[in-house]
Amino acid sequence: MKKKILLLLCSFAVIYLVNFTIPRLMPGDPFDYQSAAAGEESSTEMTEELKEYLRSYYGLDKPFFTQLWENIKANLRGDLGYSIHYKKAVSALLLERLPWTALIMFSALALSLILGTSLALLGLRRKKLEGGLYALLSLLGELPHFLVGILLLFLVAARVDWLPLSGAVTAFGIYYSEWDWIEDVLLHALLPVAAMTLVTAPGFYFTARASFLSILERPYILAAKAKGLKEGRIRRHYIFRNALPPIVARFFLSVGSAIGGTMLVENVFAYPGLGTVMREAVKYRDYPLIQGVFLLSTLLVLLSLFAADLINAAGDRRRGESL
Amino acid sequence: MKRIVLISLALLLLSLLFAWGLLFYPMDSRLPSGASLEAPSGEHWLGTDNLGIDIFAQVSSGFFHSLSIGLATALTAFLIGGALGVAAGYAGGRTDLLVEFLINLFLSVPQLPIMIVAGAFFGQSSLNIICIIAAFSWAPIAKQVRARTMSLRKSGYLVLAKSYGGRLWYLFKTHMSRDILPLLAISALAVTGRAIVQESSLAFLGLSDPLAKSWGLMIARCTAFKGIYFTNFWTWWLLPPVLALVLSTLLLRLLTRALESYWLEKE
Repeated sequence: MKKKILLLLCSFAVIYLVNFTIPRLMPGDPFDYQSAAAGEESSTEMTEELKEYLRSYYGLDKPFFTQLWENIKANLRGDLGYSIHYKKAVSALLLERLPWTALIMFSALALSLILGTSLALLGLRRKKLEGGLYALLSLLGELPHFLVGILLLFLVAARVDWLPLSGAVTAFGIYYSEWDWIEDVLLHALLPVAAMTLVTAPGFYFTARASFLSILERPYILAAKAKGLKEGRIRRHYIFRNALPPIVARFFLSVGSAIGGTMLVENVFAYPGLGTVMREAVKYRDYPLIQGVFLLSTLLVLLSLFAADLINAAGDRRRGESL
Repeated sequence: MKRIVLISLALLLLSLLFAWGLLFYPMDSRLPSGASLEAPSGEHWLGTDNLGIDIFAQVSSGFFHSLSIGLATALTAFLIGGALGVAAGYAGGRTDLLVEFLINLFLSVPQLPIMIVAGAFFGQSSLNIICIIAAFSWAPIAKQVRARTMSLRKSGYLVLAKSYGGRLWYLFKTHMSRDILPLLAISALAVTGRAIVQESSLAFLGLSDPLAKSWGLMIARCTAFKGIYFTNFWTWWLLPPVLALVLSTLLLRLLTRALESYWLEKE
């Protein structure tokens, strides 16, 4: 466990350093893009003196290690810098967008967990169904998230009236009660979550299936059957409960790929989460914002990996005791 | 075995179709050859896009763009992953510790965000895209190869060959390659499929070579077209690249799976 923690800390340090260094290696400069960023035709160009002034204003002319040290100090205070494009504190911007991404990602993962596990349970009971299910899900799990999103957008959302095409809430919507608002949010989240779930659920199905099958071979299942316990009781108390740790661990292991998928799907549905903000930030070479989004997503993924390790370790310990 | 042949045949047919589209189909994939947004017809098999460029010609050249990016990425990942995996598994000690750390590091970074960061910063040529995707594809290969090499290292014939003074390259060539190369090749094939998807994801976000006719870029341009939802243009503009992408990645994935199970059976 100590080794795992050390590894995670080292990983974070390396990623932090790379994240800090990359923007400073790239060609181009935020001030080269600023005049075009407003979206209007303007041919004004900044003079060299103005650029120099802005560079020193943002501290971009200091030596590398001074910048790094100041960056660390500021980040520890919760200050992630100031977005050059949005003209807003990065931390405030991220806090505003993170809930939307988290909503999509975690509801998709939770739904996938439930769906995948129930399908695996169903397959356990009906062997005939299982062959077809296995083939279908192994194809579905290989599709890229954003393509499924696009297909849903064109084949479903564009055909029916009650599904919105983009956004997280109706623009300028007027709500008569909180329920109205919640309904609106859920309706907007429906397709992005569906696109994510369709691709993520198969993975949970395979994990759950493998876990169930390995539990079925355990001697205590045979013992439970010999005692004459009812099928349902064996399934609930003996199989399901013991098979759960790897499935829950998968929830956390999936965060890494799910966050990428969510970012793409957000761009398909113009959903105002981290993915759309990242795309904007990249377009306008907004260093602090890109760094912020990347740092936040990496932190999220590393913490989830740690959670998965904890769950796996706990599962191993329990199994060790039961043997 | 039968499955492998069938899937390879399907892949071959697909690439023949697109090769025909690239070489003998009369329409150009870069220049307008008809009116804007023409429906499919005998002249334009899949119609034209908003600039009047033939869709089938674009999808055909997109296939080779995607495939070449996928294969180049796979080759790079194959070399890096294979070399690091064998070195770590064989040498052990500090080298192994370092490589293990690198593998874990690259496996734990969220792929898409870092590819967006790198893609944005290092420019948008096809070469850069290949380097970026390869940089984040070698780790799983290295992990497998490392484990395999470690188990091989303890086998009697390797210990013996080593005691006769065999160097790493010789040992790899004569004693390990037969076990490791198939594993490497299968993983590299898996990388090809994933790289195609990742390239089109980056292209969809506007981060790939803007001059290359990639499928992701076609999809991005179509979805960005104003009012596309209220017309039926998408049936011939959007569906061909989407379906081509889905079909080719699925076929590659199925081929990888079939080869994997064939190899496991043979062992």
